[in-house]
Amino acid sequence: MRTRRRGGLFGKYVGTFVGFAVFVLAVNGALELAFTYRETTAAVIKLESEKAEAAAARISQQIAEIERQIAWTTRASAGPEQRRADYVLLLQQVPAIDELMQIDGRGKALLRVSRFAVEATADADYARDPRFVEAIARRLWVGPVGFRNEVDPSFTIAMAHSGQQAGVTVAEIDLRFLRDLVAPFAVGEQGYAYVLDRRGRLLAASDQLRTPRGSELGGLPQVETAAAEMAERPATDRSAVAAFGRDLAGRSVLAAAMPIPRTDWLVLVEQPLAEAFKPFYVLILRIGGLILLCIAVAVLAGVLLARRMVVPIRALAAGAEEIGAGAFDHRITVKTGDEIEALAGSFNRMAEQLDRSYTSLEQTVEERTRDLARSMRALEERGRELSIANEHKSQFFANMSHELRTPLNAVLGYAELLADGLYGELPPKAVEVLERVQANGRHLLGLINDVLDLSKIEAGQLVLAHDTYAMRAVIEQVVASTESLARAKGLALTAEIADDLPLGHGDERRLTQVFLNIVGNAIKFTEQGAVVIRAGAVDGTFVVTVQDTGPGIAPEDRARVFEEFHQVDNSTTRQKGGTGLGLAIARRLVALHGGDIRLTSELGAGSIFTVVLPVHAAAPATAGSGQEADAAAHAGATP
Amino acid sequence: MTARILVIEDTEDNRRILRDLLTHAGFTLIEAGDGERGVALALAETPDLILMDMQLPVIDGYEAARRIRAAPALARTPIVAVTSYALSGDEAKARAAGCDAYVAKPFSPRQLLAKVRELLGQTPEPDHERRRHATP
Repeated sequence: MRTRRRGGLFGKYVGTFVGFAVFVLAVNGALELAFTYRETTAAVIKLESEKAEAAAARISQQIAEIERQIAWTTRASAGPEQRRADYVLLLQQVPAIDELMQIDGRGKALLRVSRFAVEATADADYARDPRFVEAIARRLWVGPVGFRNEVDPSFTIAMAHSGQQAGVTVAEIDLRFLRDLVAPFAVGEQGYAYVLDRRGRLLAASDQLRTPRGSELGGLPQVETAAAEMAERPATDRSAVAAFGRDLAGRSVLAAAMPIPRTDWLVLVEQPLAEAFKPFYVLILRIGGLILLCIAVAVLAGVLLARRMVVPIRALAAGAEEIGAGAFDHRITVKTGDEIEALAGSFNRMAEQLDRSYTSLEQTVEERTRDLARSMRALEERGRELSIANEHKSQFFANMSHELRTPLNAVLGYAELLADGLYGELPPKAVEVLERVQANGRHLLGLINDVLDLSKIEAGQLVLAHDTYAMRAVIEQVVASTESLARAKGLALTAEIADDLPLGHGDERRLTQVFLNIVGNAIKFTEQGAVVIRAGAVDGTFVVTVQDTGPGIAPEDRARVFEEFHQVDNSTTRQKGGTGLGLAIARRLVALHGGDIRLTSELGAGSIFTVVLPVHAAAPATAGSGQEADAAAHAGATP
Repeated sequence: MTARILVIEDTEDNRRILRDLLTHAGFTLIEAGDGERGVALALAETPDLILMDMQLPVIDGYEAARRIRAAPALARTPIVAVTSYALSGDEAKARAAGCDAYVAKPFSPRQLLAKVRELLGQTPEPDHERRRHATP
């Protein structure tokens, strides 16, 4: 049973690998991109700025050349014819100049040479015209750009003549030549260069910018940014300004703007970012591709490495699980030649060890089970034997009883018939001997009964009857049975029985036997005085005392009076006619009822036997065989 | 007229003691040495009282008592069980088999005679002797 967990070792290995590779590549790529972006931007700006500066220089130079040419015509002391010849020559030499006009010192137009009109009559008064006024005041005046036919930019240069009362030469310059100047400075394939005048109108542009001349471009963000930056910097700084912006089509562009000296125009060299940053975008793609490639490689490497690591670990885990589930004969095969193989080896050795332990344990358990079964069988056999032996024993007791009593019955029966004179009158001596025969016969019967009783008790075969009885009736019967004996010895025999005794529960005949024994003993050993029986009940217990005024029993003998065949003075046994078993039997019978017999005595003052007996006898411990000596058998024999 | 007593007893000595005792007391005795013969004699002679040992050869006293009781003529004849086992349950067993009285061996001939007279409706003996044997 192998459980594949998602996000287990395998996933962790691969994840770590890929994560690490991607992290390194991403950091590297990001740094490279950042640097490349900056470098690319700087390079583009540098290129555009250089071009813009070059373009501005070129245009400025061209304007200066035009001015120098115009200045050549303003020499002093040139006569009217000479001046006309100069103008025509100038128009021939400088294609950008469309028209030249001479204004005299008072503001009157003297001469006008145009590329389009052959000869225009002068005479117009320019005395208040800015071309005249400004040129006289500052020698050179450059007018604002205007657009002929809406799209052809042109402007006016007015230059004062040298000398006294000198006039002014006014030149109309067609600015379409700017296109040729600016076109070489376009950048890349989509980039372009263009010139704006002070108001942001397009004067000229390279062909890539398909916008009509005269369009208002002053609102483009790059133009505004550049203009603002130029306005803030010191006038001495004459370098290009770079700015990001948008073209009219909305494409992002990077532009470099440069003011053109001698004019208030701007030249801009501009390139769409899409083109300018093409190498950068290519780099992004390249780096992205590289990252993807690296991820793929990392995943592959991770998978391979993880498989190398994880497969044996999984084999190990699966094997450990099988061994753990109890398959101790399972072996883990891992051939990695590293710590994992060593670990697998350890597991295998552990499994072997477990296998051996289990096998030996199982063997031991089997052996023990067999032993146990054997013991059980032996025990059962023994139990059966014991049971049979017990039955034999019971049978033996019964037979013994029968076999002993039958001849004894004959002995006692004949003796009684003899004593009763059934076979004729006997001589006095014979009567005396016959009495001895009868006494000894009864003693023998008593011994037989007691020995049988004791044997049965010891064999656990004596089972008490469990019936209700009246303690008063028991005591009264004992008194009735023994009073003649007491009377014969001149002893007072009295019974003090409490009126409220509860009904007892136990074996009435056996209890009668017990009290007969105790009272009989008391009478037997007391020579004069009284025997008093007192019966009461306390807390579910009968307490019956038998007090005599006999010789008492010495402390060292008190425990022994309950032992079998013991009488305080052995010589008294025959004398008193007891069997020496009575108290032993009595105590055992009381114990079978769950009670006890205690003895207190004082030498010379008498003894007190106290029988403590539960009103309800203890339940029988064993189920009896149903055979039990009949108490009636003892009635005529024991005392 | 003298009462006739059937004694079923296998021991010769015991039979003789009973014979001497009861004959002396004026009864007529019929004797059997085993259970089968006892039953046969009882059926043949219809005695006034039967003294029966319980441990008998051929068939025991209990079986004999049952067979005797089965005969209508003997249904009311007193049967005294005599046993030397003296085990608890013997008396109940004997009464269940149909016996009227129970005497344990060794018996006193004097007391046995008293019991026989009592069962035959003759002069009863002093009561304390009898009580010992009759305790339930």
